[in-house]
Amino acid sequence: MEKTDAELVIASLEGAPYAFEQIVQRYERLVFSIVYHQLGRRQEVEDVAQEVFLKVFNALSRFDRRRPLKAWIAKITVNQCRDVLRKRRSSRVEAFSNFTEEEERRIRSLHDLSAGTAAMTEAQSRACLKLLDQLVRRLSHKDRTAFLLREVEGFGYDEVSKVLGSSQVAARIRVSRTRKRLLAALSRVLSGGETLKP
Amino acid sequence: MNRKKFRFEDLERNDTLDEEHLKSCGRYRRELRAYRLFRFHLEHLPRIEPPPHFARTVARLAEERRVVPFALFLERAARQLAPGLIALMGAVSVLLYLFSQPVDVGLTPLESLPEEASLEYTVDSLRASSEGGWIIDESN
Repeated sequence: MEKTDAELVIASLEGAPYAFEQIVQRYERLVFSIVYHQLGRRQEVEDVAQEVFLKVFNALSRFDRRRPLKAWIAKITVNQCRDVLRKRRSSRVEAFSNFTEEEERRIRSLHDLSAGTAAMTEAQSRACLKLLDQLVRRLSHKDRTAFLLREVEGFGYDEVSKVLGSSQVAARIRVSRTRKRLLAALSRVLSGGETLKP
Repeated sequence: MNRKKFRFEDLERNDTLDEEHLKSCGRYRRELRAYRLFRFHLEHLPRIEPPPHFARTVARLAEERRVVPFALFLERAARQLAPGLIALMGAVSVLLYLFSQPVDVGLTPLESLPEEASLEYTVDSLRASSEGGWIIDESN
């Protein structure tokens, strides 16, 4: 039977072999995703993710086991990303739409997939991704965090609020406001009223 | 469907749409199209997969740090201080060597002085001078 997060934390603190490895395995995709979407630099992701897990390990004894480990790890990840952005002396997040060849292929297949859903051209599909990318990059750190955790990682508002250190209502408002901005921009582009700026 | 929800920004993933309103409202249909694109692309944003042995590598690193945190600290400190310590020891050795050598203050060894410069010669010279009278005898 699979161990719970709390059981793994206890086992890790007691020095059980592989306990921490299992924790890392459980949350590595989440951490990689958050780091990638927060920083936008592929080459940095692994190093930052490693730092995150080492911090998690060092702080494990202070973790309140009644709370969800997922939100706690996400919070450490978000804080680490904020520190990295500060060190860059710029909060500018690099485009994750600087597509590699593999992603170009993925976009083409995405376009085929989405054809039935939204009846759009390949150019529109590309424009959508670029637009989302650009807009997400321009969000404030908290807006970007709330939005990505909710919409990309599928966090509940209670978890988002724990990461942000705010109330659930505040987290909900933040996500809703961000969604509204993105949707409005997307609608303008789709209706041809606005072109994308590089 | 919650009929109060006409604002797309408030729609969550699992909310359903008001089909009746959709049929009659062109604006709603336009917003719906943007909304669907928005959702679709969010779900397909690029991702990065962790490398295969990431968890094992990180866990091993973490374990190394836990088992001997103080020893690790000492090891790191020693590694950082080693070049400085070696340089300091070298400098001290050089100084000790220099201080242990006899000091040459520029005096000429007695053996190399001319015969006239011997002690007897000097004393004799002084005596001769006093007999010459230029040493004042204060007893008179």
